[in-house]
Amino acid sequence: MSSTIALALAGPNSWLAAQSRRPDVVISEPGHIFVAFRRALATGCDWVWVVGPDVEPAPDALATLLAALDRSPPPLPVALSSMVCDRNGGPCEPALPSGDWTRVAEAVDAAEQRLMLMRDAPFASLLLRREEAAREAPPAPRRFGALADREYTARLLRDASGHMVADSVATATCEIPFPTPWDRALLLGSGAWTRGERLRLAGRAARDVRRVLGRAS
Amino acid sequence: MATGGASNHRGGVSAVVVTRNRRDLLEECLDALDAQTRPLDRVVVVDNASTDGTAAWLRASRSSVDLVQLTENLGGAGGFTAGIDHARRSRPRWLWILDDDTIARPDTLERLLAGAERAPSEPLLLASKVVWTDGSLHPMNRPGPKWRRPRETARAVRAGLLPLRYTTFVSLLLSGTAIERAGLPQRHYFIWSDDIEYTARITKRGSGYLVPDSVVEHRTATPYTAIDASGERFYYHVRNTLLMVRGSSWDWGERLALLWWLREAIWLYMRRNKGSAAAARVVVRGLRAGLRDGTR
Repeated sequence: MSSTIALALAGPNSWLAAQSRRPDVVISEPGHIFVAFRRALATGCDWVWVVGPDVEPAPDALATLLAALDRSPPPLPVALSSMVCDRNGGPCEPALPSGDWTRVAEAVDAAEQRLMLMRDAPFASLLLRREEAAREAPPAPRRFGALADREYTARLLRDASGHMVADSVATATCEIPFPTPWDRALLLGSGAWTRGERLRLAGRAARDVRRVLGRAS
Repeated sequence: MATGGASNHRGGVSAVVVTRNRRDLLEECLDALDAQTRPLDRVVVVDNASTDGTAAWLRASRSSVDLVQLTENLGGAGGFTAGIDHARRSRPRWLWILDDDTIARPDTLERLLAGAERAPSEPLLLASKVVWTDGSLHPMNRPGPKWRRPRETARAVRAGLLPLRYTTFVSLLLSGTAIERAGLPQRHYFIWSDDIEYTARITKRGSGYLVPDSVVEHRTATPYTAIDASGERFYYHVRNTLLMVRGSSWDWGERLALLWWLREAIWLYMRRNKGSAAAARVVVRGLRAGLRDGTR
């Protein structure tokens, strides 16, 4: 694969040396992932690989994401995400992308290739096609708080495809918290989701409230 | 994962096919079952009171088939209930449920069983990918993925599976444990949504998966759905959706979604029928029956 890749990261990069496929450009903005992302978009590379501060990609994470392009069912995906696991190797729920179950035929074709059709994804280990990513307005953390990355990717994936690649793994280096009901409620103000999806978001916010109340009691 | 957990089942796979007045398709369906790379232990055919000599033909040319002959047409729901009830008596490990217009590929069953082996948690049911004759996903048999449990989804995707909330009786592999836990389908649904209610009942407290590389062809004349169906079928769609909303197989959020879909379906059905009085009567009759009839 001859594509050029810019890495945007906001945390430690000790894992980078072990990557079997190295990014061509590395942009680091400690503590400011969205700033790093915006700078990476300006590099002119074909792809931007965004790696959050709380994850450590496996040595083959990027190579596996790129390899998945060959088996991705059409249309060509604009986003590919690693699966974030906890230290025990199990999926880390707060850092997993959300599935898109409204496009069932595409979701079934993707599952056959061990891919999950995504509706939104966090900036954990996420490879984005720069051209499409740059067309969207950048993530807006002031408006959408902790889930600004998901709001941004939901916009990006509204009319495009993206896949979680289950065999590309990134490990969470600390406990990643679940979003608060307030975080989720903020998303309702975005036009990224359809009316039906917003109802589902509201349902998830209600379940978050129940979980918080359950913990408190 | 190992799938031999159900100790009170003898093992093996029994197929259950429900048929009514479609002998040619049934023959193709049974030929496809005979050609499976993983041979079946038993084939049960439920004849839903056919009038085209299906029963006599089966007795004459398919003596190995275990025939259940119904004296009246009980609809798909009644037929599958009778077939599952009959087949479960020999305590098979798996029941493979098919319509008579479902043509399996030679490796369909083998791949379903392989899916069971690699499933991240013990599967109560597994479904094939159902395509129409042009190879596209059949709209009548679109599976309902279970999207609320991201961890389970991620594990399933890693195994090349899709976790299911509901599916249809068109190539469904049902474990003996599932039948023990959930009982039988609701025969009074007659047609439409009986399979969706039944599989939702099973997966409410257990796992089910779609195995995308296990494929069957559903040879309907057109790739239709409830909205394109005749008045009587749409009546059952409306009635049975309301019965599901009133039943216990879905949680409150899902019930709201069912109502939403019903509203959309009625709107599309009325539009397709140009708002005719006959179509309105079908809808009203379905709504009344759905609110009045017993759920179980």
